[in-house]
Amino acid sequence: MKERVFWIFLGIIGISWIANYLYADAKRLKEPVFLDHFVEMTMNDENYLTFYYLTNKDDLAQVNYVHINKVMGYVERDMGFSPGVPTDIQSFRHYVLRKITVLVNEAALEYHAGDGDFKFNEMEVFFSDYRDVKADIGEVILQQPSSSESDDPLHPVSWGGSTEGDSFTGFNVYEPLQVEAIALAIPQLNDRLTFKLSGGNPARQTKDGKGLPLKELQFPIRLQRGQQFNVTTYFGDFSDYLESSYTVSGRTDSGETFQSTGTLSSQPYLKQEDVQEIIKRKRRDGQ
Amino acid sequence: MSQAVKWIFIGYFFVWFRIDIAIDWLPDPVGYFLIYLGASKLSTEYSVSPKASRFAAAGVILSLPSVFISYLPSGVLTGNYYILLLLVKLVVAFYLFSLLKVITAKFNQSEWTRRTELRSRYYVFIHLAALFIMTLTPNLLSNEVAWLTGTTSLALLVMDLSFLLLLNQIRNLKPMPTTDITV
Repeated sequence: MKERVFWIFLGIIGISWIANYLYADAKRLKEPVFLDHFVEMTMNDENYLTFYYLTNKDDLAQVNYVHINKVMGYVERDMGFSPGVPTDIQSFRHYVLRKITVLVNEAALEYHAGDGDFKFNEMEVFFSDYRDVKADIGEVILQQPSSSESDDPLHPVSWGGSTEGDSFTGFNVYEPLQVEAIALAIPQLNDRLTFKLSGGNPARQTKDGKGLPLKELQFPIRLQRGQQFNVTTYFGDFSDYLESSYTVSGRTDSGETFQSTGTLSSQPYLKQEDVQEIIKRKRRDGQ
Repeated sequence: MSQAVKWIFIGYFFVWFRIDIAIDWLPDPVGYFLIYLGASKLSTEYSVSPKASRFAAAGVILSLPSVFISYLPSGVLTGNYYILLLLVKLVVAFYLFSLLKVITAKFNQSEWTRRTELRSRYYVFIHLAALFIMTLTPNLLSNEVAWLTGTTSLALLVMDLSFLLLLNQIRNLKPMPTTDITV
């Protein structure tokens, strides 16, 4: 190869080097971006909350702890193959998706929140490289335990779910009753979930084998003793984390009201386009 | 000839091979210094352009941080430094090849000139391709990076070995007497 040709090739490599470096640099996140989480759970002594965030693929920092409205949340250390290195749930061209589990003690909650429910949309995240990020995390509600539900005439007996975003709860019916309403614990989700109901009369409420929007469901639903009432929820958006519930309420034939709870959950599974969209949206939110 | 090529051989081996136990025990700067010694001896002896030895001298300085590479944080900077190291190695090797070509031509060993030319083509082409791929890595998916670096490092390994082999073969080459037609 001629010397001049050789140096021309090296020049091309130099240009590619600079261009790729600058492009990757322009794509870098200034700070990690948290996904939206819709979480509603009953308070326990120890509450474990899951949060997902996107960060640069070469980010080695871990989350040390979080502050949620002054309440300290401890981050569970990942004791995987290589402790000290954060584990990637998914990886993309410039970013990775990571997950943290935060432990919040009830004592700390009580001290700051009193006897009411504890609700938050933001938290301050402290990383091991001394960054702290005010993260917009969606909607998290920790509820006070409700009074006993032991003698429910409609009682959840089976649960299921898949990675496709659908969750299933099966209820046993112990006395004749009618279901009059289904309500989500987090109202923001009203338009984002669909429901498939089966059992009772009307026997099925579904569309093309999938669910119907909440407001298209027909009530009341008559159920006889010994029947099973099945509720399947579909959540089509894999950008968000979901860990919540809905209440099924109504009246027994003897005139008593009842309320029962079904659960729903969905874990994020992002595509490259979702990543771009989330980063764009969250940046706009921040301004 | 023999002695100088031997230095280049050992020097290139140092540059190519790493034994990282806290530091690199086959340090690159030492390798480039040996290449510098060998190449400058050859270029004065056979009055060839001293470019190979000059770039090897630059290599001594540029490769100094590589001795402590296991202490460098893995990040953007280290990634770029690996590109620089490979770039320096390629430039030095390019001029070593042309040095050897000129010398074998002076020795009237046209068969060896041809072989050197052929090896240098493969060597330079593969290295240019590997460097180009390395510059793309910040914008590639991790699995793409994994298989690309896998294949390129295998190809680079073959090229390094073939260069060392060539140096070893060429080491004891003697000038071929030109046939005297007047006899």
